[in-house]
Amino acid sequence: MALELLYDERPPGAGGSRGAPLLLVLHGWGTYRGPLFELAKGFDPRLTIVAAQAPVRIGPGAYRWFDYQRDPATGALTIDDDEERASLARLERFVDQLVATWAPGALYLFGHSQGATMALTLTLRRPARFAGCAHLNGRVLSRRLAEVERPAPLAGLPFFFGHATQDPIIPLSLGRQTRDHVQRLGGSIVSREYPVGHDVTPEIISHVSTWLTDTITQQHAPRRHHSA
Amino acid sequence: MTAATPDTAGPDTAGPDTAGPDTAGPDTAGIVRRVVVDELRANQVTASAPLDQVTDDLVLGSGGLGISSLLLLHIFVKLEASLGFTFEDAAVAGARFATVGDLVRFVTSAAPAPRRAGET
Repeated sequence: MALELLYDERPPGAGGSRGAPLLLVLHGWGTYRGPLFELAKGFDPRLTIVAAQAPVRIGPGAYRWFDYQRDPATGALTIDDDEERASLARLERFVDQLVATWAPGALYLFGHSQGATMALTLTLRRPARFAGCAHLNGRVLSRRLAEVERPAPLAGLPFFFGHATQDPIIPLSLGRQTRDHVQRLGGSIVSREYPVGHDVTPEIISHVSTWLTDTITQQHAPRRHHSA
Repeated sequence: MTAATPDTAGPDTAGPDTAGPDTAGPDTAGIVRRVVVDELRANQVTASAPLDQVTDDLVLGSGGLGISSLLLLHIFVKLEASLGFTFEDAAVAGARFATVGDLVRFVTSAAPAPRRAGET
């Protein structure tokens, strides 16, 4: 099926994809959908897993959601707003297509780096659409924050924030600011920091996997009936 | 070294056999070496060897030509433009490029065979 973005899919372990909880996986700058999909394929078997590919090709095996320039003197980043806006529009259409195609019982997000930034933007713009977001080594764009300051009570929406303490790409301080801001908006946060660089390690994947399983289980636990 | 850049997520997946036959002929190998040298010069990378002596046994990364993963990506982009085709994402992302020879073998084995006279 041709959707707005290229993707790989892992169906749930039992039953059909329709109605199953779905995890949308978003990779970062300079890689493609394959590596993060391979890691996510081991997540909870109740999930349909869809790994989308960023739309802008940099080179073979390397794509991005948006371009950026780093000031060599100050380290400050300048984001290509037009490209980010265009990619976000395509990603939101892709999410619409996912919902129309798979009718997921719940929709989760998992992003790394620029993919985490896109995942968080999706969540902040339409929090009611999502059941949780795992955010690794990402940030939030200030322009996007300004858009969501007014409405967006996150009302206990579950988030996993993981960030590397030695991240040379997105500094830990920026990751903490992002996490704290989501917490102030009402997000329910699980936060971990890792003494590594801008990587996704087996330990991090294990923690995301556990968080996903716990979150799905809590959200889908059968209600207890109390007898009088 | 892989062509992956800073957002690399986890271990490399298994790549193709990069030690295949040189089906594209010496021209492709020459283009690879020329692109490597051009990119080293354009980016003012200080290599451990003279750029007119880029041999297959030279290490691409630190301790050799000093090519970063980002520069390797630029090299692949230039190679696609020079050779007129695109590489498979998974093949490039999954391969390891320790030496100039690894890169030459990968590109020459990935390149389409040259069309011979009389072929349509």
